[in-house]
Amino acid sequence: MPSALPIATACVLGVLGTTLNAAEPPGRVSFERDVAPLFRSACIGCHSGSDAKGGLDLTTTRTAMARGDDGPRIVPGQPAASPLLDRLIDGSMPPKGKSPRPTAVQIERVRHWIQQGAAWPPRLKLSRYDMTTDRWAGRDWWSLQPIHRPAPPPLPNGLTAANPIDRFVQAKLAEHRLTVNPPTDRRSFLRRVTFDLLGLPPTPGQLENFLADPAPDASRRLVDRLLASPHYGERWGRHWLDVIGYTESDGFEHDKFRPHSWRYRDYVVSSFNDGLPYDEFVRQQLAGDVLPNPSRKSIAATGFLVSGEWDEVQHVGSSKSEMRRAREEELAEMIGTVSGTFLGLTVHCCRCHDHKFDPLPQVDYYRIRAIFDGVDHSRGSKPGNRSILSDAEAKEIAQTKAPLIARQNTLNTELAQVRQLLPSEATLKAGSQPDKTLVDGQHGKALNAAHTYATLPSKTSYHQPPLTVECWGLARTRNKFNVFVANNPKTSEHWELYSFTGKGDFTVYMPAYKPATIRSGVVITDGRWHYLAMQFDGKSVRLFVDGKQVRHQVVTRIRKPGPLGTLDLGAYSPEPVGCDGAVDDVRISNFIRPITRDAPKAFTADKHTVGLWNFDAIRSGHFVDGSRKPGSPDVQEARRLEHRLTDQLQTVTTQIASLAPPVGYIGFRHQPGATHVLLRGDIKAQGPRVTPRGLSSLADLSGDLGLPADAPEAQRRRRFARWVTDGRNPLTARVMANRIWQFHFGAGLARNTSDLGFNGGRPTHPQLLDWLASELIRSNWDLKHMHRLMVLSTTYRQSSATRPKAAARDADNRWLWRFTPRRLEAEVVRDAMLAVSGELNSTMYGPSVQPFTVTVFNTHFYHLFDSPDARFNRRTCYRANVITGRDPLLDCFDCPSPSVATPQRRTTVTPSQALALMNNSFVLRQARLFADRVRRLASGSPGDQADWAVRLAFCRPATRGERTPLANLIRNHGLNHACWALLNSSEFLYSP
Amino acid sequence: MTTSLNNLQPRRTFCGQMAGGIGAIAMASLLDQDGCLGDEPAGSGILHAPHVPARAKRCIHVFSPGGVSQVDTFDHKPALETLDGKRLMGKGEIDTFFGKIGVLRKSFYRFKQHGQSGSWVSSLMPHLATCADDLTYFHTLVSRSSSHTPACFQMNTGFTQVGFPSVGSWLSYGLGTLNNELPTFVVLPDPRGLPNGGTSNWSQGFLPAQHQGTAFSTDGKGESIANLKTPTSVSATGRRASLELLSKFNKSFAQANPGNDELQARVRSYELAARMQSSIPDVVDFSSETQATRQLYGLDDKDLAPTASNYLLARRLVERGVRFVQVFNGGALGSPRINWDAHEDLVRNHGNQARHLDQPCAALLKDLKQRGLLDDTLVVWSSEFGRTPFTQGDKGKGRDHHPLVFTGWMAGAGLRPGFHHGVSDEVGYRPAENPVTVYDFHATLLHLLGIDHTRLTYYHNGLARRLTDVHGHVVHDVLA
Repeated sequence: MPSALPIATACVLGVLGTTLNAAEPPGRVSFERDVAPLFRSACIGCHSGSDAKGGLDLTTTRTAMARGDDGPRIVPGQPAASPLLDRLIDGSMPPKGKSPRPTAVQIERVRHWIQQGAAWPPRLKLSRYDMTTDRWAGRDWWSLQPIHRPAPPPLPNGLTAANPIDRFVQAKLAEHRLTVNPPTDRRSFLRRVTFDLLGLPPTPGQLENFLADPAPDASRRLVDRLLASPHYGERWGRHWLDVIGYTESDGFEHDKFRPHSWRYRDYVVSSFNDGLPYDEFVRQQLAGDVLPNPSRKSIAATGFLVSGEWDEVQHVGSSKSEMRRAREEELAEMIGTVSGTFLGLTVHCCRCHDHKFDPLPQVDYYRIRAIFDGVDHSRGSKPGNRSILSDAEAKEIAQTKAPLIARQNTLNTELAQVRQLLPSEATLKAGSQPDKTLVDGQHGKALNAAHTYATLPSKTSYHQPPLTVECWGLARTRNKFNVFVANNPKTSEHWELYSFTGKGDFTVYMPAYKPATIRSGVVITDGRWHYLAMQFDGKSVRLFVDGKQVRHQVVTRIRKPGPLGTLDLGAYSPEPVGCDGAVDDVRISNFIRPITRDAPKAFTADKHTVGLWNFDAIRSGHFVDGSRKPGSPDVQEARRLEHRLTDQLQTVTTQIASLAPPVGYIGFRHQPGATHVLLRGDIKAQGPRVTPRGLSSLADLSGDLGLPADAPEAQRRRRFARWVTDGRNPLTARVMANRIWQFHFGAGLARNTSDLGFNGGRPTHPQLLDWLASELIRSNWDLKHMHRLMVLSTTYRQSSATRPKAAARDADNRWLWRFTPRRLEAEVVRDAMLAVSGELNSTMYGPSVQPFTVTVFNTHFYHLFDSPDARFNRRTCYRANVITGRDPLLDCFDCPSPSVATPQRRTTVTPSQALALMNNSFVLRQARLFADRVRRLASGSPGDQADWAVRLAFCRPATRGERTPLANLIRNHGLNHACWALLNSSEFLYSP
Repeated sequence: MTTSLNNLQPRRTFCGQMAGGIGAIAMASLLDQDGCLGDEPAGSGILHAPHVPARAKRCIHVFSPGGVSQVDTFDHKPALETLDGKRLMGKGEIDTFFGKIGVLRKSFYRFKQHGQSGSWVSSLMPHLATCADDLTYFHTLVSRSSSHTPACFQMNTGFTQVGFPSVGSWLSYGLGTLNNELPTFVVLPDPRGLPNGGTSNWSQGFLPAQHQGTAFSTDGKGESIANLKTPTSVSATGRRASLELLSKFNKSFAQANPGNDELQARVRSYELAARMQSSIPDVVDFSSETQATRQLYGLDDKDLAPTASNYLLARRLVERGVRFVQVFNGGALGSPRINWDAHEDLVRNHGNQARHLDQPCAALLKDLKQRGLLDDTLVVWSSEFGRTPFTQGDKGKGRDHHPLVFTGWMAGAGLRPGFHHGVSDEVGYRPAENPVTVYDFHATLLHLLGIDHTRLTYYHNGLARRLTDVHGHVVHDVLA
């Protein structure tokens, strides 16, 4: 072995000079100071944990000194007998490319350490997370450290800047020998900042006003005005929906629409508009239903938890292992969204093993999982649409509602009583052609039940014994039921006069009594008229055919009747069962009317009659009830009373309806059972039980939430929400400050705004980012304050012009020597077209606009349509965000797929985008309407029209070079073509 | 807008380091754009050069959703003859989708050996049987889910969840386009209806928008692709004049804002769009096809013609340089069934479904072969899972979902023709040897197209994402 050393030493000599002198005298080696760093950076990436490579675990003295299959790896006191040292010397470890070669000095220290007895402090456990290496982040990773508020650096000579942002940026620029661009012109600034804050173009009037405002604070007032506009929340709310992957349909197999998801979207839009402090915004989304004093808004906020996709099929009728698997995926999605959105970490990546890049042990995933284990999309197959009222408000509303409901009941009772006194017209259900509806009857005309039937609201007097029901019935077919009169529904005090199928005998059915079916045995299905009657005194039923008693049956009540329904003549409508025949004169009486053998003449009314229909004439689709004389004073009085009661009832009913709880898609909660680590993420490999906790690797804030393993569900989320927004949690403010920066400047200071871990890289301006994060907290998490700071900075206001020298040095504009121009996002393209054409419908909030029809073939298929109706001209953020119902026009402008969390959008340029702008019906219509608007604004001259069109589309006057060819185009081919070209132009689609 | 990074730095330095570099995302989209719109169309994806020698330039995936029964098509199980009517024993707990475990059922069809390879194919596939020597069989495919949509998503995107890029999107991203007038990734839905999960099956997920599959309208209604035709209400001369002016405006805007490649690309995108306007009507026009070809595909059969046309269209598309064509042989679940989900009556269901696959798919293979295209075209056929070797319910005439083992095949470039990889157990319940996960299947597919599946990655929300997640091994045995 001695011969190997000089070679290895020679190899690494090149890098030695700057570290340590190789001739350093051995002295006493400290494991912690001299050896552990090497183990951490070069060894324990592989040699640690349960699956340590070669069975060698270098994290503790016990495991490091243990014997392997072929003996010990480290022999204290005997470097020459220690294979570990051999591997380091011969260069086989660490393997090439895995980590940088250890220096000769480092190897020498290991030799001395072994020589001196390989002392390892007994408690010292090395972890790959102890320090950041070039392959992973340790607990010392920048984003996990406390936020300090750095002082803005002094400026290089000759520069001044009041805005701290500019001082940080210009210091960096100077470092890289770059300078900031001059400010852009005021028009460009207006267009840039209006698109940026509102997602809409400024109007020509706004341009004039701004250009005409000489005051030094004109820009500040402009920004204040923009931030006060309700369009601000629509614009920035949409950014937020991107970040969390907001969807309004389930995805997967059924992709069902979620008609109540919009409550969360409204929550987001209004929270931005209302300036809700960001920390509260975070807490409400995580736990708004269980925070002190929850409100409708804070409860709707928890729609966040269930904003992602959900596989219904796996929750109803699936195999057990599929259900478990689906639930694991669901929680992983939820945890991924929570950690990416608020913490800028990828906690979902340590579900199967310790995180490969960040100091997130696997157990952290399951601790966070324990926080959300009780959150469900559904309860069984019942989707998560629930009232967003707090218990207090629900109680309050119930109290308001109680007297109204009592009043409604009283009114209903009174109305029913009044109606007893009124004649009840029977409404004809099909056609009102007398030639088909009426046939010759026993007395005059009769209802042709083979063709139609009649119905009217039932009354208690129709079934209160003593009761006699008489009718004339004619039936032709024996082999089916023929219903003459039926008091419905079956759950009420139901009775029914009919012929029984098969035999064709007259029968009465009364399901609230036993026996329910009372058959006469007398066949009546002979195509002739029969006089049919039933007497009921509450205890027994008598049946009569043609005046002869044919059955007497004692009955006993077996159940209470349900609410009233209808009285049907010639049918039992709920099924529906009809009557192959006809019905004539029906009479209901509230006493036991003697039935005589002499066929009576046409029935007439007396004081016992509660219903009488002769079917002799149709009056506007109705049959008159002859039981009361319409003109009589008591009927007229009752009629007046009825109208009054009806009006009152309607008022009360409307009041009650207005108190119906608002519903949002917020999911369900349940008290979860024990949460266990799943080894390798395998649902069948249960590991140790965990308690609900925050992350373990923040420098200043422990993950301990003081919760036992079986803590109540509500408490878990409540404590976690506070932990996320604790001032000592450095991630939350950094992530949000960086996000706001990204949306204003096109790229985050740390580029991957939902990943401030190792893979996300380091920020270009760490000091600036920390200053912004501290400013966010200091301002009481005021987002509008942050916008103001950023958009009023010189850095933001500089022009986007390129300079070859600067571009050569910093093509990516990382040091912000210019403003990075950007294409408008998909929604902004669409909204801007509507704004320019004058068609934008600025109605805010409420259920989503659904420009599609849906057919269901197991899967829900969304068929898009393009309608000129103003309802569809609302801002795009109100369009239903359906996974398989995406708008191809938005798609080709890189609108992200719903349910895919998209912290930063991309910009692509494709032929299908060009095709859409060329031929899409929406674009063509807006071009036409834009032209109409120009015609209204401008005189008839093509030059004037060209001026107006350019002013509206580009927010600037036309140049001479544009005016002439545009005017020619208008003259030769019409204004529509010119407006179409402007909507297709790069200048319209970009904000430089 | 990102500046012209790729003009200033060699592109190579940015490839293969997706996992961490700042600006990697921006680069990816830029390079892709470059791929989509560059002057040299071929091979202009994120891959500067193939990771491994590419055996195939393009790929057609015929996908039969619903779950095709392996023991009734390509996996001959003589043991089922003797075990017919008996319970399946000794396989541990059986956990089927609908939980009604019936009795073992011999194949509903007669198997025969075909070709020189002596491959067993059932009488359900008489036409494909004549191609038996051209197929390379995977008898031990394993899916992660027994539920249609997650399993379909896995076969099409590698993941069981919504929102991941489909195979075609990865190929578009990795390899770019082979032509300048047609989309890179084309989807031909079954004219009878879209599959369950609809457009999610060909979504680009988190990849840039241009990698999304372009679905042709195949139901005979409307334009082949959206927005292709300029409405007749727009005057042609007016459109020509306004396009000219637009081009002038866009060029001068690009000049006024130098260093922004996107603006140059926009000018070119209109030229490409114009080219597509003529090339797409051309590709869907079959009038130049001979009667023999029409007959081969079964286009003269009125019932078969709408679905069979997709296979001929697939050939015409790859012929013109489309990178990836996916033909759907079946639509959504629902009733009446328009896919292979034979729970109730296998003979009725598979009999009808096979009609829409067997003849036209065999025709596609023969047609490609005869034109020499099969040498560098990969044809893949699969379902999302198989079906149980036992019936659904004791007296059932159908079979339940079966993810534990099923058969798929590939044909064409770089494969061992007539080769059978993997063996399922005696009844076709589990792999007996050499299981092939969907990840392995995808890894092999990418390998044939010159891609190392571990190296085609895209950074998204904290991870360098792959088609094969963190799994997958190339099945080397099947390679020629």
